[in-house]
Amino acid sequence: MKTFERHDNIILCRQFVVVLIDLAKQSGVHPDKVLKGTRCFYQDLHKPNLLISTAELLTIIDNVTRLTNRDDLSFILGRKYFPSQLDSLAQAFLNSKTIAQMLRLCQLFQFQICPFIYMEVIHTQDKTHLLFNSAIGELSNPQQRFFYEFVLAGIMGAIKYRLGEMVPVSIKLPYKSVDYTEQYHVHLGSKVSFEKQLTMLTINNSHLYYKIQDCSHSLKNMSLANAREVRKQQYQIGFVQAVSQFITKRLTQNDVSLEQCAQFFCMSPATLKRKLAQHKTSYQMLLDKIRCQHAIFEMTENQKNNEHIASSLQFNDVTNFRRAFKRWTGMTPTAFREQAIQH
Amino acid sequence: MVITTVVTVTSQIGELKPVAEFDFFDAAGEGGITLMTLVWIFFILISRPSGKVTNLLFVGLTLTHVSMLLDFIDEFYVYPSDNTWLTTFESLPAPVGMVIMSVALYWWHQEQMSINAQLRNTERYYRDHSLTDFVTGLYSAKYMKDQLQREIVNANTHQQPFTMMLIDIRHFDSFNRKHGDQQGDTLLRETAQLILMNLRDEDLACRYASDRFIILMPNTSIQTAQTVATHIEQAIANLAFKIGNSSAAQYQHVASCVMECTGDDEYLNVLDKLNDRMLVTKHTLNNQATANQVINSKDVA
Repeated sequence: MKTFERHDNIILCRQFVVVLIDLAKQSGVHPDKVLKGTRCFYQDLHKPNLLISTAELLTIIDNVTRLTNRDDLSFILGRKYFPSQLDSLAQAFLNSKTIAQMLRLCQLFQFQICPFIYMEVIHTQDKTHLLFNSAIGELSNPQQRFFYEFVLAGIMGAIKYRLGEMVPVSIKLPYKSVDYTEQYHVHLGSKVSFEKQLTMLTINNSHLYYKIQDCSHSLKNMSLANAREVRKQQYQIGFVQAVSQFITKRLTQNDVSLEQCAQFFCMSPATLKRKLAQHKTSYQMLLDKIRCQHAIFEMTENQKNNEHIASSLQFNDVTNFRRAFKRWTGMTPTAFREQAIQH
Repeated sequence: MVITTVVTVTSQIGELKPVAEFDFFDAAGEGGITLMTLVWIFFILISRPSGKVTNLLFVGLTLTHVSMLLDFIDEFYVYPSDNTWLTTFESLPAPVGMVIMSVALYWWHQEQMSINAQLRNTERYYRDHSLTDFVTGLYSAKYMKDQLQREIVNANTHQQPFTMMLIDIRHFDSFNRKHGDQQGDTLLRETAQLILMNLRDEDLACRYASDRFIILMPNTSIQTAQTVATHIEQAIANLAFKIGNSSAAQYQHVASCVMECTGDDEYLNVLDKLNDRMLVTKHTLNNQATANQVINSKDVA
């Protein structure tokens, strides 16, 4: 599988940038100011398939949030995203029988839909959890907020569009509470809890598998055939996403050392380190983050005890696990559990 | 007061001229000017809100008026030689007053510039981090949070419960998709106006976010709030919204929910609960809508 890096031009301007520029214009900010720091000019934007890198997209997001001072841009971008920005995939989404099928499409066509954030789907008894992480390495706090708000608003907008109303979900976010919670109320509909160390949306299976009447199987297949053609030419995932998924896959059974990972990607450990450094992250940071998320998920959703989690994460003993957990979250596992129950 | 002082002082000091010496032509002219400055003062006072600029304009005009008045009075009085200072003094207030007035006019200009900027912004989809929302002209959610915190403290000290209300435009998303954001903004603005018209003086309406409005009703029972909510719902249901130049009416519906607050909850909790309630309200409305559809289709069948 091909991977892309921060400086590779893979972001379609008409999909993400044009709407942002329009919103900025409505707020009285000149488009050239928004595009400052990128190789892209306002006049270029009318080119149908103009691509920019994810690094440039981040610059644009920084510019637009700073210049407009608005806290609803990410939400509006998300709400407008479905179905108008999905190109050939729109019909496949609009004719899916369930929300679950739509999620499957999101995973299969992640590159066309959302190259910068990837999603992991975990099923427990009667609930489904969507765990989100950055596909392009470490993000600053505002960038992280922007992307997650965008993704969540997009998903909730799509669910509302197909089911006709907002459904209750529970949302956990890694960052501190914001002072514009009203945007979360209105655009996401559900209760959001902050400072949870991971980004996760939990939805009841009854909603996920609710049969939507308005759908056509043949239209969906037609659109999928088209989309597969497009995908054949260019399917890539972010380099950091590839490394993260390598770790997630092997976390509980195999060797997840840096050397193993470098070997898997056919590069020297030094190259792997250098590439990750270009994404403002490191192998240890990714490993810690994924282990931490695994531990928290097992704790809060599966009610596993420390011994179980320690052995599943290949720790020698519980003391080591406790110490590591404290290092990741600043809290002992016991304190974390108590806090999770309170909220 | 200033006028009476001036008149009494001058009449005390001066001696009345013989009628033959009166120059009526001059007196009429000067009297006219004096009267006009008085009229200007009157209009400044009734038409401008009180404030820095108004005060300065008033002081400036009054000083000018005093000069004119002295000039007018000396047509009728002769001052004794030891009090000639009055003749020298009479021309002094006018230039000072005019300088003050010029400063005031400059400030007025600045004031108008900022008002213009604000008015211009209502034409755009623009939300600044200040306390007003420029799309609807209402206060923003930030302002509501401040007021809500204050009201909670108040409710605690005076044991006076208050009521919160949420208004949500139904299917605003599809309206925006169909008619564009510009029309969406116009709809928001007109809805905001209608909400304001249906509120009492002490109620506070703010734009919460997107298509949701929040209303704080101090010292209000839940029944009263419910009645007001029904009024608002009916008012908006009867608003024949026009898209651009088209004469076809687009009727909108809103969902509303009210909640009584006793001041025991923290303000963020109040907002959380209120929004949860809105979710339930909308869910019930959707269910009713689908139920009605089923009934209607049965009727047809």
